[in-house]
Amino acid sequence: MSRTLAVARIHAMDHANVFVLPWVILVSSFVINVIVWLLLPEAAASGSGGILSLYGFAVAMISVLVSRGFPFQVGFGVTRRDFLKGTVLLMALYSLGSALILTVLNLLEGATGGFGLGGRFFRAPWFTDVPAGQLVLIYALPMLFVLAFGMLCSAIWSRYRTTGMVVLTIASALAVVLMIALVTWRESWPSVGSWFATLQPLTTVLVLGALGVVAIGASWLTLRRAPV
Amino acid sequence: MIDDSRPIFVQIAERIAGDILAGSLAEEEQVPSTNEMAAFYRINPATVAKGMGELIAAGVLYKKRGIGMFVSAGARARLRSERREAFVEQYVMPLIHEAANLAISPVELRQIIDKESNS
Amino acid sequence: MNTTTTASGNHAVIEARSLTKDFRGVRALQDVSLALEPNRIHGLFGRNGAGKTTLMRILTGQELPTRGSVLVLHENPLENASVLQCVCFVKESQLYPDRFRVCNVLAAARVLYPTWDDALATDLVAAFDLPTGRRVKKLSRGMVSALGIVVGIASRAPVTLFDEPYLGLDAASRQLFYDRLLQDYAEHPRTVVISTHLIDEVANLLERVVVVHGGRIVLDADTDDIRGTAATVTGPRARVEEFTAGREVLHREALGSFAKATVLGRLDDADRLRASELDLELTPVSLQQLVIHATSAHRAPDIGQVRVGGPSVVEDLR
Repeated sequence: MSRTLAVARIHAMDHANVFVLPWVILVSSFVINVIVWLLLPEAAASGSGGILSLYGFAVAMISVLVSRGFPFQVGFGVTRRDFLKGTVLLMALYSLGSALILTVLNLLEGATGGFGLGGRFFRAPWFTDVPAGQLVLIYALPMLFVLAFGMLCSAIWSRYRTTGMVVLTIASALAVVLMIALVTWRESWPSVGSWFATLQPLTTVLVLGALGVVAIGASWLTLRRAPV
Repeated sequence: MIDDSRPIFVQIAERIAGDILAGSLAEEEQVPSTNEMAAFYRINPATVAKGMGELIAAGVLYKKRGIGMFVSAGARARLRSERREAFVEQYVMPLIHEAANLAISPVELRQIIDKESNS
Repeated sequence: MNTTTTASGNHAVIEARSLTKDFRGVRALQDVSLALEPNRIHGLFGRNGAGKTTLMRILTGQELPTRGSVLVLHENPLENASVLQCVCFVKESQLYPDRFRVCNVLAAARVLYPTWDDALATDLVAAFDLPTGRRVKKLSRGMVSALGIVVGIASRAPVTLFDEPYLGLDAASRQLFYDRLLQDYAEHPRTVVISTHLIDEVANLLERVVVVHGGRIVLDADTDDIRGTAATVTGPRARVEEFTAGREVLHREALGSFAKATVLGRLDDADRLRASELDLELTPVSLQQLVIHATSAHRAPDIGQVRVGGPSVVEDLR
């Protein structure tokens, strides 16, 4: 069996984090939403961000898998390159798998008229208002993005520890502030606004996917020389 | 058992040689395997192999392929003559020296040896 | 590939050439060169902080040297999957994923080591009384060490390194480790390197001894060449002086009219005879004491000069 597959298999040995908890969290979020729909029927159609819980947990999951899995697997003779490839394989399979499940649930929700309550949980507003054929991409690419982002954070921690995390946080905040300042100075908020208005879900997720790939590249550069 | 004064393989060779001299290992009898001895003495099998190698080179043991190590014919006699040479320095001189310490005369010493040898 | 052939003609399985490693101004290794023969058990000794762990980390590709080169199985181990799956490094600082249980660790090892033997692993787990279903986090220090040992032996990796694998293990478990290692090594030879402080416990297992001190190699010789190369002479002071005259003395101690001196040099029957004539007691010096002498600050002449797997080095020192 190739080393890449071996790495992914070993990550997946943490059954709880990879296979169980994500769905426990999603189901809990869904149940809470259903209760809200029952109590406040008018809230049902507007859709909450409940589905984001799955994406949020994914960041936590990948952070744990990378920060603990990296010293473990490299300690057992896995090369850093194979570790990265195996982790990316896991991320791809995870994104695809969860996207397929979400797509099925999306179609089910649609067919049952929001589970008979007119609710929108899986059919996230705007994002999922796309032809059915695009649904898998809509769900998968943002997942890949958050996983890549989580992996990058863990990679920075693995190499630079607390100092790295502090620098990352400050740098990110600084970047956001600078961007806002730039836009404000150029008085281009209106053009920013209209740009957002013309955004399509598909292009958005494709951009997220591309950013994910960049994050993976950055993770490789970081992990290459991370100590173990 | 195994001590720090000389290489272990030397001690292994000596032990096997000692067994042959004492008669506990007869000629043409099979010697325990390298792995058996290594496990028993808790030492490296390569060390045991080296010790046995010394005895093979000295013609005391020989190897039957696929079966194991055996004591050569005439091994006992060969070992005896070797040990006789060392006997004087290892045993006789210390005996004479200690006897002198205890003021036992050479005549007395001979009498003691005769008496003990015959009993 | 330009590999070193050791004195006995074997191509070295582990080869280090002028390794130097600096950590933020501290020089952990200085010009370390080694050539270890395949399929032998080697001991790596040295005081705390001498550089043993750093050396082992570089040999397994987990650390980069500042200068110099490393070859394991004739290739650079760094990021080298084909070499690394033949190398098993059992270290006491090994981290395990939080949720992993003992069985998960063994499953991971099974996946990563092509030479893994599951039946042997099961047997060893039972011998060490390891609870397979328990989380590694919840294991005692001794059990974590035992787990490392199980992985190390059951991996049957052609190159297996143990870095102080006995932490927290009681004497009975340590003996179990040595016995099982020897047993499996006898049937499935491989290159083993054990780094330990408990020298006398492993002395009878080793074929070669490498001692690191202050980042340098101060001793690198076959155990057969070192054993018996020093002896302690005890007795009346004047007689001890007489016996040790003309010999290299490593250490001297006196108590009243008695003296004790450790001399360098292999003693033969003539020496032993002379000692008994002088009523002196001769005791051999253990491997542990020899290593301590090699690494003590006030050590006199070197016990074994660096020579790879050669004939007895002691003749030069007489």
